[in-house]
Amino acid sequence: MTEATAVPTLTPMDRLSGAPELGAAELSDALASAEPAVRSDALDRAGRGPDVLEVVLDALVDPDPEVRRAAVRALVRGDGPRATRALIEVSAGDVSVIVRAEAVAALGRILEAMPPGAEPGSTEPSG
Amino acid sequence: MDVNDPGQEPGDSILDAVNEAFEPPPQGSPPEDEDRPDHGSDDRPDDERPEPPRTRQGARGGPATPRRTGPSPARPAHPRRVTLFSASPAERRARLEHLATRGVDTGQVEAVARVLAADPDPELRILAARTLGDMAGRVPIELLARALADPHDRVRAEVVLLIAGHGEHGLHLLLPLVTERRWPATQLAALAVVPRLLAAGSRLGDPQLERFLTAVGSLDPPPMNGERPGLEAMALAIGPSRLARSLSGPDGIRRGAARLVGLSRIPAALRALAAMVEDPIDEIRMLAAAAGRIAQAGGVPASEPFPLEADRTEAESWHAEPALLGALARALGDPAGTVREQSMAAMQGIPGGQVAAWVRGTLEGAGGEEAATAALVAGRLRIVAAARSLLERAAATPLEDRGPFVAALEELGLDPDRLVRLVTELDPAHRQAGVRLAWQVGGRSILNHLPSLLADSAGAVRMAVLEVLGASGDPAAASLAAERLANDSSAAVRATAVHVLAASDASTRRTALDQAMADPDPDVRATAVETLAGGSPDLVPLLLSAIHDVDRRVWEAAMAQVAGAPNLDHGLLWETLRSLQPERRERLTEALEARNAPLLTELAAQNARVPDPAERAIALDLAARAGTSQATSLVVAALEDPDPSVRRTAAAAMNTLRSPAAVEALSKSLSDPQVEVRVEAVRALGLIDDDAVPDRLIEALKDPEVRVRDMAADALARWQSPAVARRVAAALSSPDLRRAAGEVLGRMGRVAVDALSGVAVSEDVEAAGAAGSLIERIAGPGPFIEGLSSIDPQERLRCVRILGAIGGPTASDALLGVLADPDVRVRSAAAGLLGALGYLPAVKPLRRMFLTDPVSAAAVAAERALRSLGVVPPGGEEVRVVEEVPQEQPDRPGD
Repeated sequence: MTEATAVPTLTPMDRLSGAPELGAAELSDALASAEPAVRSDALDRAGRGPDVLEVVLDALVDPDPEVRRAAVRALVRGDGPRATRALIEVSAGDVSVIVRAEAVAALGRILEAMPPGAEPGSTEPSG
Repeated sequence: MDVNDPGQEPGDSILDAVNEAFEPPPQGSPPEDEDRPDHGSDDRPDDERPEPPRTRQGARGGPATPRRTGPSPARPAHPRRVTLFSASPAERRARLEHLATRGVDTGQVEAVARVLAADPDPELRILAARTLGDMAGRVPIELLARALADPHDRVRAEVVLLIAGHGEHGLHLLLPLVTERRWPATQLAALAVVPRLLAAGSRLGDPQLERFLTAVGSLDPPPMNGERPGLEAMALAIGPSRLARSLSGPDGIRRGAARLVGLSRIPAALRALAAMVEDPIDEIRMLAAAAGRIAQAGGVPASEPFPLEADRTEAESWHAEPALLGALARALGDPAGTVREQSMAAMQGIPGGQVAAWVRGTLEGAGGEEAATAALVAGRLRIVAAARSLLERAAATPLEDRGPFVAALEELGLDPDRLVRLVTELDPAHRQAGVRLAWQVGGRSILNHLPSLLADSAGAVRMAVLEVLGASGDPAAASLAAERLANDSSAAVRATAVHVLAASDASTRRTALDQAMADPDPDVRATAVETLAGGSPDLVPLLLSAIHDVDRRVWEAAMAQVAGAPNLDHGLLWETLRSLQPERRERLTEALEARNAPLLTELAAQNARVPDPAERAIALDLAARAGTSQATSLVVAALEDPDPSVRRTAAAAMNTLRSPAAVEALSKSLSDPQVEVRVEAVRALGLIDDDAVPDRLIEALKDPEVRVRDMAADALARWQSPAVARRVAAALSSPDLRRAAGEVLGRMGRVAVDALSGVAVSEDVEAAGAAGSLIERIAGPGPFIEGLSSIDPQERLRCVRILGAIGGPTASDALLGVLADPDVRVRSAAAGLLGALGYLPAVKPLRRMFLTDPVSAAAVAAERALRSLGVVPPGGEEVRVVEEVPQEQPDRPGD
């Protein structure tokens, strides 16, 4: 993929209709776009798996807070302790209020979904 | 805006501040520095943007230049600068640390202030505040006012210091914080800086002062040890006249003013407070009574009728915690209200038991920061099940770090009965601190429940209860303390009870002192003497009895109290002095001298002529201590007392008085038949700086008693004065004094050489010889041999004579060299002295002088010297032809 515009911006209707999930390579390409909206929309369509997680984690340092917020949403859909630890770090360390708030909400959802006594991050929350 | 308004959302305030302080820069004006807030980055939440642009270029209307230079398969290729507003906390910290090391300039203040206001990491906000330290005055005061609402106590404390940089303009923000206990670090910072602002000239308006005094009066419990130094400094800065005026204000203001006066102890204000013994408020009456005692005693009594400080204990060890709950808990302290609300909502969605278990576990096992976070959760969610853990943790935490736990306990709003019961459930090691915490959290509401803790098996707990009761001014405190004093098994508790009773009325204190003086423990007795008797003349008889106590601490404390007591009964005091052993009498006299010197003169005058010589001697001791002119007269008169022991005491007393007026009387005592009197008289004379003394001491060198002579010699030798040396040297002409005077002069050393030189050249052969011997011993012939090279013939002549008095081979050899001196008097004198000294090596030079000296007087001197040496001059008189020099006259001893 050579142009970020290859991943079109999603409309709300697109989301409702279930646009296809992006793999690691597609996601990387989309995140190279100069358009924050393209990057955040791509993150909203990020798929699962270790490769995708790596790309999403990189997006946590994106200069645009909306993109980082989208990365946080993607992490909630991610797998296991690594994503949870990243959320914890973002919840306390991101400079943007909206990103921290998103991360805190995500942590709450993870905890709610966790059966008593379970290790943090060992349960797959509903995303 | 009231920055301490609990209804105000701190985060909202900070965000508002950011919005106001950092409007987007004008179009086309690039940032001057990378640390300027980059408004063009859109790195702000939605509510911070003028409008939410999805495309930067479109929103700005500028050229649509892509931000990246090319695509990257692995990560975004947007060049990111390391700035204060980077998404990465580590990068922000690195940048801020760089600025902190290098120092910020005016253009960077705004950016660093934004970090202070909005960065999510409290440590970075603290670092930002410290970085701004030198530029505090350039940070907008409105922004600092909002930063005061920071959710972290330590950040607020740093902001206080920055506000202080605005001087008087920041006073209205800082003043309420002085009494704000929920934020202890902030309060301590305010207590440190506000008095300095006031002392530097910032003035409190009357309404401000009234609000401040009301806040001080509302402190429940009353000012504690950590707050006292700052409040005392505030009181001093406000000044006694304003405080005294405030003592007539409404209840709250009056109570606050009374507390400050009690802390500061400014005499003028204390007097006003002391007059309030009829005030309707118990505490003010208690403070007034204490002020009265302080004022009456003329100083600060050893007792301290104010609250006592809690002990400090070490924090517990550090443990890990479940990461998710910890993260949510930390978010409760986020500077942004949105994040805190999100966190609270998330917490409330989690089963309560799970959160409570985490809170308890963290409080019981985690490190300070995490435990403080758990306390925040406990308080916000009102987890009453964590109350005991909170109290335990607070009790085990140093005073300055207890803020989060105390704040959480306050938020729980426990009823006093439960609070006190929790104290009883604490680990024994923490129960003492628990009592003080319960007092801090519950205030007066717990007072009725505290007495049950007086049954606690740990003495430290009972002590803490008594201290709290004493600090509260509760009417029941005195009776409970009296009961403990009578029955408690612990001496420390009984001593604490004594402290509590110190704030009672005179009658209660008298009973308590009576009771305490029968206590088997000397600490209790000493404490009672120090704290219960201050300023009460009625209690002096008990104190005089305590002077006979077997324990040194007790009798020394009693003496100090007696010495400071007003209107002492002279008869009782004299009886006590008379009955004491010498050491204790000496100590009591010292105490009286320090606190009440005129009393010593009065006692001495009243008893200097009593029939008993021993009592007259005691009176003289007192007179010597008093040192007044009247006392001196008493001692001088006593030098002629019929009793030798009294005369001796009088003479010894003069050692202390050292009055020139006593010289004549002491001189008379040198004829006293009692050796001891003469010894003391000489000793006393030796200490008086009067010109008549040396002659008296020289006379005493003839005393038949060796101790008198030695004492006189000691005194004269100590004088070390050329003038005195001359007087002593003159005594060398007296055969009776020659030896003793010689010893004195020898001890005086070089200071006596000039005086001895004068004697050495005198006509008195015996005295001159003695002087010469002393000169040789002290200085040797060297200085006078050098003097032979002087260009002044008189000086050479003087040295020749002194060398003649010294004698011996060295001096004589030197005289040989003088036989060729150009001055006929000098060479003639040398010739004569060589003959008198019998120095045989001089024969040949003298013959040469006799035969060749062109001046007849010199030849005659040489001839006489030769004859003294038993040698007939060569060739007889017919051989020698010399000129007549009638004006020259040879000197002794050759003539």
